Amino acid sequence: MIPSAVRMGVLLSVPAVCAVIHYVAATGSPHRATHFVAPATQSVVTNPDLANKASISLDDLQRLVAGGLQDVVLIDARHPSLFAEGHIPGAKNFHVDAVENDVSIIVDQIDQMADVVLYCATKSCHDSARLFDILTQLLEYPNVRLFRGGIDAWTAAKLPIEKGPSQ
Amino acid sequence: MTDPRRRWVNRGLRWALGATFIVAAAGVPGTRWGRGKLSHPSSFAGSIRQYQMVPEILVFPVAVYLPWLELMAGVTLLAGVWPREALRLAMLLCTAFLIVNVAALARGLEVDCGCFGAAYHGSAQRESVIVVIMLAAAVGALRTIRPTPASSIDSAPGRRRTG
Repeated sequence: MIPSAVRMGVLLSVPAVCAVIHYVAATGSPHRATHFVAPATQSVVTNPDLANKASISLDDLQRLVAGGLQDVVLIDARHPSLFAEGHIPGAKNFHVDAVENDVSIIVDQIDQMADVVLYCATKSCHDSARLFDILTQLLEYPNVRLFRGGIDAWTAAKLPIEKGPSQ
Repeated sequence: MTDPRRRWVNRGLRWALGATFIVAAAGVPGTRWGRGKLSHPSSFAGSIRQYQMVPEILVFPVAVYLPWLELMAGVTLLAGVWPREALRLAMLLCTAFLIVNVAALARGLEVDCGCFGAAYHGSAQRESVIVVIMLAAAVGALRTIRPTPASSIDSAPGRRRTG
């Protein structure tokens, strides 16, 4: 008979072995930003003050969209399936997981000096905040802002949305 | 409660808990729940980072380990392997999730818990309610395991397993 403590040990340690293998596989490629962690003082994920400073209001974003997003790249950081269900008109879809797996997909398409606005689902979602950290800290894009209300705030204001996949 | 009824209550609670843990860890392919934490550890790492309770160096390792732990709890609960220990592991996970969610709420943090994968956006309040229900289910399932003189029901000679 196996003692209960040994059984608990097995239940806790088998996942640990799987996790080590998973961790090595997830962080192995040099093109991945998966393991990137911005310094806490410079991360909008962990620093709400910084997130507020870097944010753009609903009114300002509405004006940019109404003006046809001249000289501005609007990026939806959510999963493509959510993007296809409805997004802010003119937005491009760069899902943060895809960028973390291969940063070249965004570097190749978005000029480093472009004025970039990011959003995701809600005020508390973190996909856009993570992408903000990657763009500003890892890839050193200087002109990046966050629309913190996300698609929820946009639709709550009864503003138009587009449906379908990213162009 | 009669023995057959007790067994079915225990099975029902374990299966519900097990399925919930597996969905939380691995997701359901082809649905919005398809982006489980196992396949998107960096998304889950973002959620963990928001709680500001884990040192940065440990964020990613924890984001990789926790989903495997949930999967282990889910599979053992569904399969009925070592049910007491599996339920204790489930209670341990639920208690830990509840503590961090309540701590985040107490500190006024706006967090997207990421508890059920990267495409699911749920507040700490809503997740706390779900976790309390899961914790109650785990306690209920543990209480409906027939008491045995041995430490585990499935190791007691001559006794039927509960699931």
